[in-house]
Amino acid sequence: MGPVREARVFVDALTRNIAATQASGPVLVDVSADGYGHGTVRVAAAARAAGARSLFAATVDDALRTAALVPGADVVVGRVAPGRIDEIRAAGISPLSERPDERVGRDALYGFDGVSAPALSLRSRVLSTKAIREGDGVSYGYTYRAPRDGRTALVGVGYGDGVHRHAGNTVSVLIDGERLPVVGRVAMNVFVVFLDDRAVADGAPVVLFGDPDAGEPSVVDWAAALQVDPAAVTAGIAPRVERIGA
Amino acid sequence: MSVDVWAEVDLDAYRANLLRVRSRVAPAEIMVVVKNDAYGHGIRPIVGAAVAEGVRFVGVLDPGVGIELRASGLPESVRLFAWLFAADENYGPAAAARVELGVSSVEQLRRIVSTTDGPRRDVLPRIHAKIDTGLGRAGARAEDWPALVRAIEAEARAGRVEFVGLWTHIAEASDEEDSVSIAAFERAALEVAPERRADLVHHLAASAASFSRADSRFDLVRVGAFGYGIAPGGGVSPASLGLIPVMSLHARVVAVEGEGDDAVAVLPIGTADGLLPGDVEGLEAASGGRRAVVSIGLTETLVRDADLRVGDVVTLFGREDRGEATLQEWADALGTIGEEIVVRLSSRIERRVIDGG
Repeated sequence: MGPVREARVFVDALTRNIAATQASGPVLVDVSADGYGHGTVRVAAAARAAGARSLFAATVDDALRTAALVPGADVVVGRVAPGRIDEIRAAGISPLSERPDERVGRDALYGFDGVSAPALSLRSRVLSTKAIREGDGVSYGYTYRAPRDGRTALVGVGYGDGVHRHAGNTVSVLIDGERLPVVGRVAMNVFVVFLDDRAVADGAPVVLFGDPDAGEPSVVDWAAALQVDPAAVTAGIAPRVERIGA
Repeated sequence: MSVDVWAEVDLDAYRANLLRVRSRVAPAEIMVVVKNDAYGHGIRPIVGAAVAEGVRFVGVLDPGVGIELRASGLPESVRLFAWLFAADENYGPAAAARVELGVSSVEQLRRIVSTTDGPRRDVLPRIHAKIDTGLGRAGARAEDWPALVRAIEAEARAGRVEFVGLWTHIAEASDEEDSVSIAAFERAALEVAPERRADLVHHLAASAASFSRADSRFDLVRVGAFGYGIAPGGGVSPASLGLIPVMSLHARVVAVEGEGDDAVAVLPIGTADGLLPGDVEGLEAASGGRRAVVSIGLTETLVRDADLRVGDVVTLFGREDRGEATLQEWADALGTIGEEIVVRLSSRIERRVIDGG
């Protein structure tokens, strides 16, 4: 079995997306917020493979971090307070204001636009399953009660891993090829899925979002259901979630 | 490292909160809950402060975190407790590190026994049996509980585990429903043979319930949120509970846009750093004792205060006694709880520990 908390990063998809965006002129590859959770180093490698030569970070702290993580990279920063201009120059970083002919690429690079391929899949595992009776409540505040007898699965990620707390009673996840509802409040470390009368094995993989071409929910749909920016969804995935290049 | 954004973590406040909770729940003991890197505050300084205060139980959630704490030199007199395990967990390392285990099913018990059957048999896995008293997450349902207790008792008699605790989580949906859960827990405890029962640590309540209900406390209460000064929300402030927020989030103004009364200050933090999206009524930050409305974007936050200048420090959430907005105000405005805001806060943001001893 794989890890209970897993974020798969599709480096090939990143590379293809970056290459496609580059086709209409050079882009600055936006790696703000650790490449919006995809991993700055991984995104930088994809950028290099796609022939993109420059990385972008919105803030000075992020740009300095990027320059340290990717030695030799051409790093451009979005906004610089006057007091920190010497610091970024010393690190070889350029302010965006000095690169007027270049555009910052983001949504299409990461598949946040709903058109290009998503580059990250958030996955977990069923920790255990158990019976539930009609009318039984689930999780804090009992915001859900089972409509009939059935089974539930306890899944090993929660809002402390980056799953938004308001995802309960709102989104569904993929288990054994079926979309099944997240019920009750998402807790810090777990959430519950109503299985109805399905038998699901302990340890079964759970896909929160991933590759739509493989029949998985996309991060764009997930974010839309939660009324948040897809970039904030992937950027919010905690470091305790194991990143695996795929 | 971050220079323009940082979170201050005040260990003096943490110690004061522990004192407050302990005096409230005594004679019950407290288990400090430090899951998710101590709710984003940083596990090492928080555990260090708690242990120095004489706390004897630390709740880690993940067995791996407990193993690391033990390896860092935490003495065995401090009991570590973990309760989230993979279906294919190998319990050997956790048992060897004396990390005690929450157990919800006979299948899990069997796995514990089979994965700890080795040369370290002298260090027995320590079991806290969990009953589901209504929350519907982990824990044995009432109909499965007697079989779980029988199985643990049998393994304990055979010298393969130590039976050390009984526990549950409650839903805090209403006082009435919590009373039902407390009664279910008391009934469940009666399944254990009386001579063994007296030695078990009974624990049910987390912060809020332990504070408000004496009948929820049993031997031990699990204190996460209140230790960090996180109030339950719904308008209840930390000060009204005698708690002090431990974390304050600060950012420096990096630009001012617009002119005159319409000028807004820009802070280099946003939802990409873990903040929740917010362009909502009631969301405020403070600088120099003045409050101002904020709106949170992906990588930047705007503060509607025309007097701010580049370099000024703005406190997003912090302390009532400094005139700052609290985490609880933010949580109420954003429709969530303080815990979500602090645990989402990016680990890239530096935690600056304040420790006056």
